[in-house]
Amino acid sequence: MFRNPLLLTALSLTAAVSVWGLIDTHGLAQFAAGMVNVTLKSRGWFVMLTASMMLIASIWLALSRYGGITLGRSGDKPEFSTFSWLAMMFAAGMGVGLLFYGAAEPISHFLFLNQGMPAQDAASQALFLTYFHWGLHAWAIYGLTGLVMAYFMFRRQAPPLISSPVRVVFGDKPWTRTIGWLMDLLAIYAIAIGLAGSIALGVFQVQDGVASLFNIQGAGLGLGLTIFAVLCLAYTLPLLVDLSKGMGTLSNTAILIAISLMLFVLLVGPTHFFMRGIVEGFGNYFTHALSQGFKTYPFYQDAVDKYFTDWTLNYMLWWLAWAPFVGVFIARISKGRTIREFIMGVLLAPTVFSIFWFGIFGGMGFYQGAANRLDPTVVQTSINSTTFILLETMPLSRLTIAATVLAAFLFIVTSVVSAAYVLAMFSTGGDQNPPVKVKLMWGVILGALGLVMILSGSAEAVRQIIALSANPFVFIIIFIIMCLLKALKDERTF
Amino acid sequence: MDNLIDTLLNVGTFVFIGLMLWLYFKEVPKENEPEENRDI
Repeated sequence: MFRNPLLLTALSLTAAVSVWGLIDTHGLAQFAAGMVNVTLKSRGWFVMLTASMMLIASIWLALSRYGGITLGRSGDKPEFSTFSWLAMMFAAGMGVGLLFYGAAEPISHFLFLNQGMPAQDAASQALFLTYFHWGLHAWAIYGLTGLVMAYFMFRRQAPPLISSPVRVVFGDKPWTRTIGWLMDLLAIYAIAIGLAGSIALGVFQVQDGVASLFNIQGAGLGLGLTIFAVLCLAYTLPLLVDLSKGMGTLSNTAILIAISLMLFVLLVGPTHFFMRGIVEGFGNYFTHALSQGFKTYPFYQDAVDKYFTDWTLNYMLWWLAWAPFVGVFIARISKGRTIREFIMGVLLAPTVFSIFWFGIFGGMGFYQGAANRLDPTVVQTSINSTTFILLETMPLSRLTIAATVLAAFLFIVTSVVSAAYVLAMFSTGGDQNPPVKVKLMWGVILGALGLVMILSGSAEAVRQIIALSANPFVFIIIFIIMCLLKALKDERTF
Repeated sequence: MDNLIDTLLNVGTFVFIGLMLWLYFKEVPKENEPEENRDI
């Protein structure tokens, strides 16, 4: 294990960031914010262009003659039923974030937009922006990365590594080995930081949920660290033994709890109001999504520019940071599907679910806000608590808050275990059964990085650190997509 | 200084886009075709 230079370099790099964060948390957060600010200001246009082009390329691939190509040998059948396939994909891609931002994000957008437009327009536009952040563009980033991985894994029999497309298309040469090594290293780093950020955000939310459940006033770092310790214990066991089926069950349980929560709010809340908002949201989103992807607000005042950078650009970078992890995961479960089936499933099903999710939770936030049962400015003072404060305005609040806390916890555990597996696989040259000690080591590193981000005490700082790690990934993803398009030229599809 | 960094970052991006276009159109000897194509 210690003779593997990629593993050693990746471990050193992520460990160095952990140590820096532990010694000077504020300094790391400030550095990340500064770097992200500079690069997003200069290259924000490129990030938006990349996301939009990935969506257009996905749609083109699905509709083109290449759509009929099977991800595997001709005659291979899908391993999972379509429902399980979609459920697993969705759990890996969104998970805890949905619980975290369900009501908070539409309300945040509403407060900002309401400064310049009437409330009714601001509410509609706030939901549209939220759908845009979690919809087709996000899933095109995941989907196209996953498609590249699946194509080279199952059709070209290459190892499951981010560098494989380059080596397959351009051959095994010194430059492809060097670039490939660097790509694998940056992929490992981006996954580690992205997942650690997700752990931290999850702990922030679980902490507020537990505080709300047991009426703990002024719960601070102590409660967060206790939850973090329980979480570490919870994910260590599955790393020691092969619990792949058990992990699938945990992930499905988390999704079922989330769906039950959504149905509860839909049925107990003003159902007709939600459905009107959702129908309007569908029309609004599907007619404007493509053009919104090209919006970079060059002629607006600084406040709009800052809002666009803080939300839209950060989201796109966030999806890019997660793309190697989610992409590999989606690829692994998609053997035997055609390119068309793969793209349609990855793009449409999660987008439609997100529109329902945010339409219901965001709609409930607006509804309770209008009835003075919820103070919308809670998103400015305590964004982590928004979901719980909203649930408190509804019947059976203790049960729904407990269910949210449990679902968040399960999402984090399954994400960390899957991420430790993917990291171990990447850092051992694509070994599909990596040694337990390598998985454990990644579990520890993810935990340490997560701890650093929890100590930063700010969801905003966590988002900046994730965005910084994702920066190089914009280029890597474009590189491997170019390899896919080049490789497809060799396919005989007539 | 800000303008210089901005210019450098964008020039880097333009070079990258150019490199990708060049690599896409560059002829590469075929070593690894899909298996079923080799049967035809």
